[in-house]
Amino acid sequence: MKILSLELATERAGVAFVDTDCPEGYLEETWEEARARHGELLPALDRLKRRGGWDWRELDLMVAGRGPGAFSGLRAGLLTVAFLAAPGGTPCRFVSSMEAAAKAWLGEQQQAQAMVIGDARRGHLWMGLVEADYGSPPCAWELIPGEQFATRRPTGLPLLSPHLDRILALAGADAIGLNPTPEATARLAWQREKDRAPAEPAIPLYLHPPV
Amino acid sequence: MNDGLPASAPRILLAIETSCDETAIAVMDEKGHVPVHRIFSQIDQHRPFGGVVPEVASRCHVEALPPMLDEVIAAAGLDWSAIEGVAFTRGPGLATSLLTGMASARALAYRLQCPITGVNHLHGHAVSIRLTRNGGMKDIALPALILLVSGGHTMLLLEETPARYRLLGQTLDDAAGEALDKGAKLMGLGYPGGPEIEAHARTGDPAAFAFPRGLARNQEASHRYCFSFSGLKTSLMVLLKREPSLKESRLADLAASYQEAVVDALMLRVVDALDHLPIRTLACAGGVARNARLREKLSAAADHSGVALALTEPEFCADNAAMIAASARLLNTWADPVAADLDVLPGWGLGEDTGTPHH
Repeated sequence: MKILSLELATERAGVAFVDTDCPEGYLEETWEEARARHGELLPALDRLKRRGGWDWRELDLMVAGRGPGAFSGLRAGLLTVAFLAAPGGTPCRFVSSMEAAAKAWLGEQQQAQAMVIGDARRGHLWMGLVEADYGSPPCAWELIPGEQFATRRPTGLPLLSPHLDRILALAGADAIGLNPTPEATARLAWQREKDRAPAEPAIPLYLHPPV
Repeated sequence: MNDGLPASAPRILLAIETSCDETAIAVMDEKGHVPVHRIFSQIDQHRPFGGVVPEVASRCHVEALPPMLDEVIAAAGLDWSAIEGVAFTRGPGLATSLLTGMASARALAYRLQCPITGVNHLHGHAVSIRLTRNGGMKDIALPALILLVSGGHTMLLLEETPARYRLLGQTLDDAAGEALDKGAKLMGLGYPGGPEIEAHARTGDPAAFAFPRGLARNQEASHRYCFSFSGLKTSLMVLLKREPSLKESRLADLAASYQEAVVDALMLRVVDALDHLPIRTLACAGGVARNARLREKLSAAADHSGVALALTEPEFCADNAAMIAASARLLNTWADPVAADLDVLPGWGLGEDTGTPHH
């Protein structure tokens, strides 16, 4: 299966072309996105497409990460995938960015579970318990005040986060750095597609109410 | 496409508008005819807050855009390959809302290998006077005086050459639509305020209460065609503080008098401009241009001055994507969607540089 994947949940943004018939074979373009404008998204995608030489009609699936993460990036990723996919009617799938990254990390480390947290702004953290098993249901992310994390942290589990400095300041938590990647996001989406798992909605994991 | 630019002007355009609280997509053909346009109004989502909440608006755009695209293409009976250009609203507007439209437009243009253009929302409103329901775009006798009135903008423009504008004046504080929203809130009416006030005003006496008409006519030259509505709102607030029972006992009169003051404040500058500038067409665009009392007075002013009248058709008054397509069609300035410097411009104004939307 050939998959195009976009991951814009954090400042470390990326696009990847993944061919699941070649487990080690994928192409990726990454960049630092500081202004949340994602002006580099299409140039990166264009470079990826030229490098890979694939055609839109070859794609079996298009994927974008739902976060949790920066709202503007998540919106840009979801809409870009939806509007790229529409003309060819390519199937789309949207999965949690950090869940995908954590599953890939757990697989490499041969561990079963990890707690994943990040800075949700406004004094809050988002957190979720991620299972290594790709067949597990989507992670149930929750939003908690930063000061409550100490009482909620499970013992004996690795703690992963893309925001090391911020969660240290907010919750005094010392974590292992982990950023979402478009390749990991593609592989989780592929597994869910193979399992015919229910689709997740094409909207970001905001967690915060809008007002 | 050659180096990202078309060899000739795109024939079929698809346009996306997401500057504020309306999600809209339209298709326009080479004659300026709009076979399909769709608008999803988020008013119900914003009503509980009494105004537009940017984060709510942006979330609504994300959910509304993908299904709307499919619906528009299906309704137009188009093959995707027929789309030769994609236009989107680049500004002014809410940054997080503009970004949703830009991301969508860039992706679609890239996928279809067609050029893109970022349109000025105000320019879209200004050219909406040319849109017709079943024909193409109509010609306007120039110079034209255009009153652009909406919830976010109130300005008087002079169109001297096609689709190029000179800003004569604008509001110094609230927009006319904003004044109506705030007035309606003070009267205990719902959101959006303009239609609520208009509905109640139908049975009221517009001369029942003497509200101020904004700036005095002997303003300094630079403010000659400017507007002000903050005094009007304050005047209503003071009146209702003194006599709160008026909201129940004389609501229709209050609404009619307040609406009349807003319309008169607009008309004072319009008539002044008609009297002193060489104008051949009087035009009005924007959401407030749907107001029947304003349309009636504009029509009378055009008759009195012997100029043509071009009021945007009610269906194209509120924010819509047909006007974005019309702006793109008239300016015909296209770019490669991969160009990394294509960005939204939340504070983009409207003036003589409007014909060059790409920086």
